[in-house]
Amino acid sequence: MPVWKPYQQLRLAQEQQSLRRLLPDFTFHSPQVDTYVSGWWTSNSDRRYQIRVNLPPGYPDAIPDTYVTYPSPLRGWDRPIEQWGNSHAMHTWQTDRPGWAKICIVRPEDWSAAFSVVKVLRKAMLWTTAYECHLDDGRPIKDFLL
Amino acid sequence: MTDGHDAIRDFLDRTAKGKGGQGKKMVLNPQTGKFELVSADKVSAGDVAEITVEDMRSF
Repeated sequence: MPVWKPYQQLRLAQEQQSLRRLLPDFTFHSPQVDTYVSGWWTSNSDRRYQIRVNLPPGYPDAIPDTYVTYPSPLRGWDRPIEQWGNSHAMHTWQTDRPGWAKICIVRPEDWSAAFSVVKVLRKAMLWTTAYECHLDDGRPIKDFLL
Repeated sequence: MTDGHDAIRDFLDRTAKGKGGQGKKMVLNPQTGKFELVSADKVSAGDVAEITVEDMRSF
C-alpha cells in the first residue's frame, strides 16, 4: 500500500485548507491511502450532483480521476453518459466504475502540478453545467467547452 | 442573484465560438456555490472566483 511521501503530505494539507475555504461542501476522505475528495454540488438549474476526485499515488504530478457519482447512471440525451466511453465530443473517458460517469477535465498531456483539487472540482462543475446544456437538445458537450 | 441555466448556456456557447462575453465574466460565487455572470470590470485580475476563458477551453 503506497502512502503519501512528506512532500505530498504537505501539498495535501495545503489543498485541504484551500478546499475548506473555497469549496466547503467538499471534503477529503481516507487521508493516508487511496485518498479521494467528494461532495455535493447544486447546479444553476437546481439539480444535485455528487462529484468525486480520486487522487493517484503520483499526485500532484499525476492526473486524478474525476467522476460524477450521482445521479447514477448519469442519463444523457439518448443514452447514459458512461456509454459514450472515450469521447472527444462529450469529454468523457471509458469508466472503470460502472454507474459513475468518468469525465475529462483536462487533456492528460496538459496536466501539471500547478493544477489543484479546487481547480479540478471547478472544472467538473463546468463540465456538469455543459452536460445540462447537452440535455436541452442533444448537442455534444464540446459545443460548450472546448 | 443567481443566473439561470439559459444565461449560463448562452455564455458558454458564445465563449466556445470565440464570440466574447459581451462585457461579462463568469465567476463561481463562493457563498452560493453557483455560477454567476458579472460585469467584467467588477472582476479583478487573479480573482480566485473567476472562471477564465482558459478554464472553458482546455477540456
